Amino acid sequence: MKQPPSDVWLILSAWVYKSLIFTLPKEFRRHYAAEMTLVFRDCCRDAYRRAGFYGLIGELSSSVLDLIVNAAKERILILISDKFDRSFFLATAVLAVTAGIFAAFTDLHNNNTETPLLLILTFGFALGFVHPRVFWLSGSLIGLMMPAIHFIALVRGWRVEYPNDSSTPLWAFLTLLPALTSSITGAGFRLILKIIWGRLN
Amino acid sequence: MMKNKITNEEKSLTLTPTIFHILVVLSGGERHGYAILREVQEIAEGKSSLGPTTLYRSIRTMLDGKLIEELDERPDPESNDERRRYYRLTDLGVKVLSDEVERLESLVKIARQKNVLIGSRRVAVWEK
Repeated sequence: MKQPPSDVWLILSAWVYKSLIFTLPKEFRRHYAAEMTLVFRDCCRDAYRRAGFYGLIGELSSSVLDLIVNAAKERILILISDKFDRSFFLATAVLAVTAGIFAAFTDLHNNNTETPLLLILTFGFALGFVHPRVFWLSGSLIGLMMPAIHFIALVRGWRVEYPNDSSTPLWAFLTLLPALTSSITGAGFRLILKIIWGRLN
Repeated sequence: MMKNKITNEEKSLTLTPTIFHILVVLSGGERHGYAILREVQEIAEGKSSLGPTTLYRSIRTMLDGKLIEELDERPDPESNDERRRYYRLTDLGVKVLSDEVERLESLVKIARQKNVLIGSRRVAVWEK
């Protein structure tokens, strides 16, 4: 039998898992997050005893996959439920799509990447800050507009400021990274401000 | 008091394989989340990929459907983590489980009568 895993690996895997628990809706987290983390830690200890470090990695991967799939299901359930505020959701979606299209058209008519990148970061941060509950939506939509517009430009043969071939829309998917990062940062920044404000009052 | 009839509300609860497995585990007495997870994996003989999130989503569904209930006090408060919550079957849970077992039994009986479990016959059918 193997020795129990070192605290470092256990703490690290629990930290990764706990960070990702935030993908679950607040209501669900409030009831079950603490217990889920506890169960996950027990699973990790068991997995390490059975199969060592690779067992621990296997347990982490399967638990994270389980978490992400179920978080997506929960989010979809909320979206189709009566409790969901559709107008709020729609407003965020429209704003994000508009911002994404604006950034994409700026990119089409610009030879440098700095300007559209700056726009994406600004819009992502702003929408994440204003609507933190749906930061994932604004980040995804802003990021997805770039490949969508590039694809349309390619199909329709629009004139762009740089060589546009079939690989450009695929490369444009990379925009998802800054878009999601900035919207998460915006939402996180608002959370920090809220905590500070709460402490001050 | 156990009900004899299952109401429409109770019928609307989908008994997924995961929920069925959890009900089977809880028929052995109250358990906390981790114990449920381990026992489900044991009875599924490694074929279950039940993770903590699926487990607690199923538990929530069962709590909403009143198939299980949370214990107010832990069975063994001294030897367990205070954060652990214990669950047990309700009367309705017992009834739903026994109904499902009966249904599966009759289904297996029919399957046996039709010889669908004999490998050679299945191969013969496919070869046609």
